[in-house]
Amino acid sequence: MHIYSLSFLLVFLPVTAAVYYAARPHYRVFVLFVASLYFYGSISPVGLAIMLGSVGADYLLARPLFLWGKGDKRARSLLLLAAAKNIFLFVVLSSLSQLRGTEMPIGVVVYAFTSLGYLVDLYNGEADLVMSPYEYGLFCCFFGKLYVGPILGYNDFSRQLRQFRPSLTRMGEGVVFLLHGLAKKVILADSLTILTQQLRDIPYLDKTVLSVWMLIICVIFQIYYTLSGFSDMARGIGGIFGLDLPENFHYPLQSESVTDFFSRFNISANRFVRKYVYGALGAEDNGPFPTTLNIMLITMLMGLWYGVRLNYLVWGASLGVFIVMETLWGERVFDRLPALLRRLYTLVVIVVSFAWYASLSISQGVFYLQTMFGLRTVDLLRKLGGNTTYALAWNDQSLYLLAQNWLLLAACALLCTSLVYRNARRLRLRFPRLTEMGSFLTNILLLGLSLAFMVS
Amino acid sequence: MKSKKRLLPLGFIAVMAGLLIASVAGDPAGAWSVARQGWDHPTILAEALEDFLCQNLPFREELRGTALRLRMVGGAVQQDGIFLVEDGLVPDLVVTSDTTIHRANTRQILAAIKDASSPAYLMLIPTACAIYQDKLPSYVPLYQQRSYIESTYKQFYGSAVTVDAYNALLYSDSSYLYYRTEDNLAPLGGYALYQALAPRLGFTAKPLQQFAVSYDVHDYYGDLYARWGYGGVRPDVIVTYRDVTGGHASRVLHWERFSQRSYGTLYPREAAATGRGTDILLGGYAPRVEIETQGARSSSLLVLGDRTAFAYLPFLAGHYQHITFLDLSLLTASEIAAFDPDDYSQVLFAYSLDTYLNTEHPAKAAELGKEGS
Repeated sequence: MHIYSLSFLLVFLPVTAAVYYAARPHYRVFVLFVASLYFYGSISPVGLAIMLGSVGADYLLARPLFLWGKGDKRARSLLLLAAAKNIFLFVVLSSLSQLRGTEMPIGVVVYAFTSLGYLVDLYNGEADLVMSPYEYGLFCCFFGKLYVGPILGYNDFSRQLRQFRPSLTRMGEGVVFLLHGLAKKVILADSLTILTQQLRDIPYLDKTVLSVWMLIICVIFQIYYTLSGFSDMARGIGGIFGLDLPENFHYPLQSESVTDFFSRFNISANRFVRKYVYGALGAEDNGPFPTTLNIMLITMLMGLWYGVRLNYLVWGASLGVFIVMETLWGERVFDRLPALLRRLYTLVVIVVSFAWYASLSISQGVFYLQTMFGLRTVDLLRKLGGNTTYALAWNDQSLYLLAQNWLLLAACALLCTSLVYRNARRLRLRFPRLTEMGSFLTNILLLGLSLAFMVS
Repeated sequence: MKSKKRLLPLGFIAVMAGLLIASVAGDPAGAWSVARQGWDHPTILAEALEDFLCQNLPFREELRGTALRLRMVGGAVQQDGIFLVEDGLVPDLVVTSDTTIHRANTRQILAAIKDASSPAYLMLIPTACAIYQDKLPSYVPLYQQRSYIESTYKQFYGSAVTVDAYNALLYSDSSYLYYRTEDNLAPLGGYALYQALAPRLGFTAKPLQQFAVSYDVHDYYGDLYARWGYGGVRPDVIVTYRDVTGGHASRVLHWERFSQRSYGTLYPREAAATGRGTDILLGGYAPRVEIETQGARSSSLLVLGDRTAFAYLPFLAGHYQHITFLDLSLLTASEIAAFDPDDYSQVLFAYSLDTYLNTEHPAKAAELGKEGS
């Protein structure tokens, strides 16, 4: 059972919500915690055991860490132990899944780093001690946010639990987020997954400039709509249970700089890395060289956030180079460019950098980059038995895939901008009643379409 | 404004509850079975529940159709490797990258021909997507079936007589050569192949006017339609062609490993009544089918082929006293070895390109006549 499955939408979510609202307020945290465990257990019992072990260990470490306080050697050792444990868990599970060719158990990044962030805050005296194991479990493992977060600070979360007042309005907002996220995942991201696979399956010798550009753009859209879809669903599920989870993706593909892109793409992960790593390294006020090193480290860590793989590291580093340039010379060069040009520059950098993200090895990444610009390595093609040194601009296969999916790609391109949202807001101001009714009907239509794509 | 915001969660809850209740009401026994089997393990319960809901969700066919129409509007011309063409379905020919399969097929058939003294014939039959390619968008990348057939035939020069099925189908007057809902030749496709086969096998094909047409099965939906599952396709009509001039009576014997059936006609209606609509053709598919025709030319034919044979065998029946059809994919090595090509006047190897390129069964021909050796 996943949050985009019928069993979740028709059975798990309504049953959990019914029990949650029927329970006394005192027991609601417990209800959500048990539901989260059951949800995870239905996906992977082994993953559930690992999650319980990891989060349970961190819960036990929290009390001595709090009692000993900042500066105490024992507290520092405990914190290092917790950090090593959580990072080790992530690295091992990510590497194992790569070796076996399987997907990493869901939620490892979220619960491991939520828990680690809390312990660091506790050590620094920025968070309260959690008394209830259920509350701590729910904080780390709430089923709505297990996929990609957002990663929350404990104080925010606990304040919401204490100030919780159920309302149909908040629930309505949650349903809207849930439906938008669901549509992003099952209509757009899943269709893009199929298209991406078809583009990957084109033999090396038949890959054209058009097919590789399409592949990279599809990967970007696929990642964006999958992750932002999950984030929207997390916000939606949170809203249904009265929790206000923050936005995790804010139209990153219309950023005006690569730095801006990083701050809009997986916002909570970016904040986490900035707060716990960048802050600790001394931020940007140490001169050009340390700043460059720190930025490169941060961007590479952000690359590794998506899995322990050399390509992700190179992807992060390639974006890091541009962030360094923007940081050092931004005021003199980038800020003086017209907005359209800045956006164009950012888009090109992002698309080209994703050649690393989309490829499965460094040599494949080099091949994609060369093909994107009409060049090919002679060595690679010789190995494959071909003689061509330049890639074709297009062929029947790439045109066919483009013609088969033009509406999907056009919809993805339109919806990754704030154009629809801005115009909808404008309309709401002018015709509030009409827009509300239109929004209601649109959301019901989205539900119908999502169900249609789920059953097909 | 707030009342509208409240309307959505209530509407959402109502829709979800309605869908769940309708799903359960559609199959209460299935719902109970899911509930019972799933208590042991949450993963099993989740999977069973998901399957149950997918199969019992109200309006699921309409929903699937909606998704397909949306994809079609978005430029899609195929779904899961099946093209929707006018009112019928055309499966794409997806060829495995393992080239050793078809090379082995060619090698082993050549070995079988070399060992046999009876004249051998080879017919590679293109699939619907090659013959109907003018109905598909020009940019659809299709497997080059014609060039593959031509290059393979070159390897058989001097060993076997080759039959040009590609042109026979491509230039046929009929437009109903392949079923709309099944991945197979329709009887008129079979007739086109019969016309191509006749001069190569040494006789004259009878004109279509000599056959009485009978529309035996209406509203037939085949396997391809089940794979497609989205609607928008006209059902097939199973048509049979009975030779009204020859006066030959045919008997069909079906051999399966543990049973045998015999029919006194090429088109037993009782077979279609109890099985699939296409079972009216020679009584349905079997690994070995013997056709005996009284008063026909005194010769025999061994056909090694696949499901496409059932389209043209009824036309060939009038020309041979005895035809044996073998599907090697359904026979064991010892069963294949029991057949000696030398016992027959002619041997025809006839495979759909899908079978020839993607399966290893044609290569089993090398086992023919090896009993006791």
